[in-house]
Amino acid sequence: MKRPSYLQQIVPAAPGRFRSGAPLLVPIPPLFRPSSADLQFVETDVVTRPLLVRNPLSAPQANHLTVEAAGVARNETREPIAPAGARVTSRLSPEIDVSDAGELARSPLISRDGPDLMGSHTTPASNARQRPSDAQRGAAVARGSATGRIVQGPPVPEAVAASGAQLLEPMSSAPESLTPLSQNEREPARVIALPGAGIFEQPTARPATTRDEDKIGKFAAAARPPRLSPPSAPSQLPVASNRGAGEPRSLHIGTLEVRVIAPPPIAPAPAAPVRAARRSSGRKTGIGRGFSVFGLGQS
Amino acid sequence: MPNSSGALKIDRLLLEVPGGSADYGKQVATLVAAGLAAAGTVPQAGDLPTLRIAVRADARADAATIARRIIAELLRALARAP
Repeated sequence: MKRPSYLQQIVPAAPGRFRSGAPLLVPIPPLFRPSSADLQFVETDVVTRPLLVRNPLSAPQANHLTVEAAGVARNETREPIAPAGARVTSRLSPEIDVSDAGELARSPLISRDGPDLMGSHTTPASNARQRPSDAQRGAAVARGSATGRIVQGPPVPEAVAASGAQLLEPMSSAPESLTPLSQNEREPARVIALPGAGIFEQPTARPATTRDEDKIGKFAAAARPPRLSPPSAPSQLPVASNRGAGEPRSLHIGTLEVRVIAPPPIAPAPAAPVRAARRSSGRKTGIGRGFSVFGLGQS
Repeated sequence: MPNSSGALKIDRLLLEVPGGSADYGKQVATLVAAGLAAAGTVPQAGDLPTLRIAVRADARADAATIARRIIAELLRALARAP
């Protein structure tokens, strides 16, 4: 039997314990606690935007596009109801371009020719068999009832259903303008871009609603600075003045007492101390105490 | 004692000059009145019952010098007065 190595001897068998078996107290890592600087709550506000469609068509046709978009937007059902060349916007995904069959096949939400993620029985053959023509698709889209699984959208006019196929052709032209089609605030924000639209355009501002105006008014009232009034005129102190508009200034002194005070007599400056005559130099005064000159007076 | 722009009226003038005579006092008082009249606008208007000023001057100085000092001190006192 192989002997345990030195490391195996000194390293505790159980992690977290010393060799003696005493539990090793490991400081508990501090739990994450949001500091006061963190957000305690998040206020969310649902912003609704009007539906915008890049529409190169005229106004009546724009209404038709709205209906068509409402029908196509129900692609949550993963039914291949969108015609080729149409760009579909679903509620879940911001935008899915179905103009390319390859991209469509890779799309997880919309299955055109690829496998059906919802487990339907559609096969390429059945798809080919069930694939309607563009006119039929347009009509089906316009009706919003391609299959039973399609969520019903808003009611579709009959005229739109009849001309659904014809509407698909002009959609391939280049877009020119943005036309708001819906002003309903409860309508979720959707942007439907037609084929040819380069980028996903989304309105950056929404029209102010009545609720917003109320909020703005409330905040404006709260943030209104205090009204500043000019300072009141200083109180007039009673002064001994009878100044009038045209009245000359006058001063009346009852008694003027003038007292002339003689300045104190200037004492003659004390005579400067006469400096003592310079004593003659020499050692007449002797050497100060404590000092001595070596060799002098030390005899 | 009229003033050029207003009016300065002094009812009574008490002049105390130590070591001076009455004539000397009258001369000083006359010079003071003339000097106030020539001083122009007084710095204050109103009614002052009593105003006391003190001037440090040599009693042996001439009357004009003492009068000038009295006038200057009086105007300063009026300027300081509320």
